[in-house]
Amino acid sequence: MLLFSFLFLLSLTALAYVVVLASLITALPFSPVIFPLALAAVGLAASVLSPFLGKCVNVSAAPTGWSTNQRPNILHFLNTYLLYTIVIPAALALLFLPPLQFGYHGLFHSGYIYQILSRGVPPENVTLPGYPANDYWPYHVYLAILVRLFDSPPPFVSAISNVVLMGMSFLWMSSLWKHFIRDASTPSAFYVIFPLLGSNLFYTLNVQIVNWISALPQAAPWLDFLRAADTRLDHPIIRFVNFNGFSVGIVFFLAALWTVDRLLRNRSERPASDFWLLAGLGAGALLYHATTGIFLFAVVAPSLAISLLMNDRYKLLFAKENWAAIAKHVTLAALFFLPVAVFLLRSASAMGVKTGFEMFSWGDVSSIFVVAYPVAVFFFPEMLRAWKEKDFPVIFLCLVALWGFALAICIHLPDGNEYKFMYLSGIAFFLVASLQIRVIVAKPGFWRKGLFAFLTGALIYHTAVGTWFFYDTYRRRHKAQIAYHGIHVDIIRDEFIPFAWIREHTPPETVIVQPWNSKDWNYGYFSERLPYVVAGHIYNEGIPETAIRREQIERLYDTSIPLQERISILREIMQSVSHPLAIIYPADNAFAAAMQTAFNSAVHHLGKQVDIYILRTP
Amino acid sequence: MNQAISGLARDLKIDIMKGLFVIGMVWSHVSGYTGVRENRWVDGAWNIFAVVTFSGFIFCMGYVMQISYFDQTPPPVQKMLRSTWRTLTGYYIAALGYFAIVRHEFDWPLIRNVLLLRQFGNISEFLLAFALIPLVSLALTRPIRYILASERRFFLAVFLLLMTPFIPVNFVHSPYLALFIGSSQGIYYPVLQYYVFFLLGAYYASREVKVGWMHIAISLLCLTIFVGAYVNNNMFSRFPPSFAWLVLGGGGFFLWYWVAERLSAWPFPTKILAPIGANSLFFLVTSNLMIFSTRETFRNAVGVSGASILALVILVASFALMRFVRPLKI
Repeated sequence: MLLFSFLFLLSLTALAYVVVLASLITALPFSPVIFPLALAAVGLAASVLSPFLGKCVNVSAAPTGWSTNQRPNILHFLNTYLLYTIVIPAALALLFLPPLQFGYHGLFHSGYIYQILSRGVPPENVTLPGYPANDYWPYHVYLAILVRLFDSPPPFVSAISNVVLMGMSFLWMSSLWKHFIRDASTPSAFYVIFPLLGSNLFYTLNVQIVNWISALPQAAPWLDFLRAADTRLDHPIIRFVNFNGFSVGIVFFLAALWTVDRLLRNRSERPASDFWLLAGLGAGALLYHATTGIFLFAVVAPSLAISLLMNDRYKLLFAKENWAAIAKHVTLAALFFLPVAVFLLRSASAMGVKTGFEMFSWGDVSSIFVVAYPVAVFFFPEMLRAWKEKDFPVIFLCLVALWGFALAICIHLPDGNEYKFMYLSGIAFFLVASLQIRVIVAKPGFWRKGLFAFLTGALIYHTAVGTWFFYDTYRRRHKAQIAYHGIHVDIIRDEFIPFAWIREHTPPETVIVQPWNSKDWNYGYFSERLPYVVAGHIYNEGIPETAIRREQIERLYDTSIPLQERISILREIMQSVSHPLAIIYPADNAFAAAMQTAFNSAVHHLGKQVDIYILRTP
Repeated sequence: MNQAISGLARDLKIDIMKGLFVIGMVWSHVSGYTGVRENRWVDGAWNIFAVVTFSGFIFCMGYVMQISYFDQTPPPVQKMLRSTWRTLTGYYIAALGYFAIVRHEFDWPLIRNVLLLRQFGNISEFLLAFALIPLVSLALTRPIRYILASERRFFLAVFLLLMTPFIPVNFVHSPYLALFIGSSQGIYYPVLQYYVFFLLGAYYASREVKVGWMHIAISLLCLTIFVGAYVNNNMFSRFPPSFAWLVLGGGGFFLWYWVAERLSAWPFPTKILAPIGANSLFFLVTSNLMIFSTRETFRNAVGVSGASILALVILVASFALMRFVRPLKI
């Protein structure tokens, strides 16, 4: 199964690489070119890499269970597998309930996918049509392929993808754990799940403490420190639920850790192959989830370099006689990463907000504190042990954890995305801590068993609360009745009627002019057309056009503004985008008459409340 | 060689698996003909049986053919041809039975059309694929052995076959072509799209793959995704089969495979299920004829439990009929 997971990741990389490379040269339609191209890339990657990977991946990573000819030991079975059931409610809720599939950002991500399906790559910025995309759109290409494969809408295939990726994460973690404890038998589910879902283990307690102390007449000033923690780090189960590329990024990260671990344990016969494997995983991470990709290069790569320099075997690698070979590999790697770098730079330059450095941030320190403190007491003794015993793989993990946390404090990513650094560092932190927990629990003593029971209980509670939280939040957020048919989504409410009409009657490149609305509330994305401008996308803030369009929209729908002025705003809008326009406007006979005069545009009445005007740009 | 093979103890898990599929299929057919499928729960269960059963049968066929044909030197071609002929005869009986009993049609043009595969009998179309797949496999003996000999080639073939649902089949009007590559105009179980399960079954038999918990996890995940789609009213295309229909069905039937393996250790269920599976053609044809005959009596007259009891009665009656037969070697 690990081999399949590796193939999956490298196929994803090959797919994204081919599509990005092609899109740098020319715009491509999704069908008929992209789809066969993508499948060819996947098939090629699978057939070329399978023998190579078969040699690389020689550890049975999967929790395989007993063979069918053996009688199971039920206690051993329960001890090993039972805890996996804590993720079943989240998986079921996600697969069965469309509001949960939409999640927080699912609407505008769906917009990207529909755009790729109908208009190819590279997509436009779906929150600001006419501008280049400032998001990691290879992830959307991947989902667009799933949409075609399953003939299902983007939110549903995102849910399928997330559940599968969660399973893959368990696989990788299981294999990592086997490496670290040098035992090939199936690990207990606790050690597989804890590093992935244990982050910020006492979140609920922290919130309660803050609430209790805030209620006191004189609240302690240090409370502000706890309050400053990023709330997006609340429940790690959300990482495998939300409609975004982070779940893909996590699997890339775990595969990279696995490969590095293999290198550091001197298990590799051909280290150069492993470095190239890492390069492939790094490229995939950069293309599918840029934050994870940056983490791999800014945190994992330096940690690996330090660990290698400490390792006698690899000191020889950097000897003078190897410089030529190293230079050759570095040059080839630079060429390999060139299209990825161009893609990332283009996306970054299309953003209104930029990545920056900050000397110190109390908010980040607070976030790291709440993530790490529940297991810090286990982490540091394990780190000291690893240092004394020169256990390089564990030292490497410690470096990833600590350097990742430190970098999160010193860097400011758009939208405060450094919290993702903290989660990834937290995985390494919890993995190291788990090694010490295992040592403690293995010895006799009631308190040791009690400690394990407490941590298991806390993990179950944390995950259960997280599941309830996302269920409750998204169920209330998307209250409308939702119907899927094929790849389309219908929202059964009056406000969606114009969008359904637009989907049926306008060309795919149509831009919708509608009242000012957040990208995360705009069900208009299910019209499979783009809105002229939306609120709430921090990547667009700083792009002057966003403010201009916002003002245009606010004035257009302000009925106190004279009619002719509103018509002239529409002329401005027509000039700013080279797309047909669908204007959703409250029913207004005077406005309809003015539109008829100005643009010769017939009005389409949808009930008594809403009119739609279609304007085709010359 | 063949005698040596026939002397070995029969691996009953495939017979049990087929027995489970036959039970599911008879229940589904009865549900459809009595009208209880209007119940959403019944319809959901019906869809689960539908997605796993045919793919599962093809898997079993591949498994059995690997042992009884591809593994043999020389391969017993005549035995396979006889088996194909039996299946085709079974199909003709069921199809003509459908027209005579349900549609009250029986004339020479109709018989000619049925015999020439221009018209198909309801709930028996799948038998044609059961007849054609061994024929295709006989013709492709060497390539199939070549593919199965290497894991790399096998996975590449699986990958390519899983892409076949994307072949545009809207233009296919010929029923003969549709039997092989599918069509959007009619009910066909195309050989090409479902052949992946034949290869998978042959692969499992050739490598003696054991079913572990990972199989069960994947199977449950596939079925959950399928049910999730059903709950959201987003059903996958069955005719022609879509990628999702194939993949989720293929993942799903491993649960049946696992259950069959477990049951094969118990004598009681084995005694009941293995004969049903070993004589699946007989059960499918006789049960179809009984369903056609009882259709008017029970249509909209029974509930879910009534339909389930009727399915049980049909199975018991078929079982009894099977026991009445005394093979006489002259």
